[in-house]
Amino acid sequence: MASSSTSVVVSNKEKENKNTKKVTLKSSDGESFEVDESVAMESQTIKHIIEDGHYSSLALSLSVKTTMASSSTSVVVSNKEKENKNTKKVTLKSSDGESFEVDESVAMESQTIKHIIEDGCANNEIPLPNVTSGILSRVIEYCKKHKEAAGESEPSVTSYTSNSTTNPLTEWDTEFVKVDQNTLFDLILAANYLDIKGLLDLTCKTVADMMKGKTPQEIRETFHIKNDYTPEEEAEVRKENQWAFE
Amino acid sequence: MDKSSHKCIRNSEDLISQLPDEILISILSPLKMKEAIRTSVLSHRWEWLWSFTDTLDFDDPDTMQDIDV
Repeated sequence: MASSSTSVVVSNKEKENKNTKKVTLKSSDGESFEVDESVAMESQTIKHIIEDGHYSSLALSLSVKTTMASSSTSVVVSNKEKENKNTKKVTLKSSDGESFEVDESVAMESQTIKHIIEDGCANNEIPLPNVTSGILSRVIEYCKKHKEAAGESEPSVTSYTSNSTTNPLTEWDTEFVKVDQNTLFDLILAANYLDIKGLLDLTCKTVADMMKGKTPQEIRETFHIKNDYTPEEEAEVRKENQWAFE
Repeated sequence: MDKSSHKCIRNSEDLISQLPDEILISILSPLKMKEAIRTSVLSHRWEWLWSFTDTLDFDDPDTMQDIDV
């Protein structure tokens, strides 16, 4: 081996025999080296990657001094354990009987579903009698998108209200809520029932924005709210908070 | 849509007022104090909802200017 580029693939296949946990280091030319995990962790780089455990694949460039020569190597790390374990699926069933299979991690964007799963009541299929298929598919779309974004960035990106100026999904979110009122309110109710804070904040803020800058009569017209005050009652309410109406 | 639900799909229905209190309060929370209070005249349903929001900004200069002390 002269100074050549090699790439090393590390995969962590958890063996049945946990006493001698092994990892497999695979070179770019396909040769595998099975070593004790403790040995592999002599490399701080590999140690951190294994301990982190949340990556799908990671490419690193290293300068490695070998006994042969200094060579540049690139290390591709893939966490096969993640492939085996973390693509666990769960099935959500809408009120109208349609089933949606999603990654468990995506479904757990809903605190309601998270608790059902953690309580062991999931049985692989979770019925959602309060959510129709049309709305559920949108909710799933939202959760997938925000889960992906969270995976690429800090967790705070999933919260709409925390620092929307740096929220990379602001544009996507804005398009997402461009729907008719029926759908918007159904999304609010679903987000409330499923306890998905980001979606609830987003949809509520959208409705609030529809009220901004409007007179009460305009708001009534927008939302078809029937004014059930008598003229005297309405005058009294206005008077109590006169300054707000000026 | 689920037609057996109490939610109506006709466009002229007042859907918003049928939402639970806590949701309407969440909707009012992003509004400025003045705007939130104005909703008190929409209908009886809305008379006191604004007062339950927890994000009313008493330090908002626009608001404070207009209050007669």
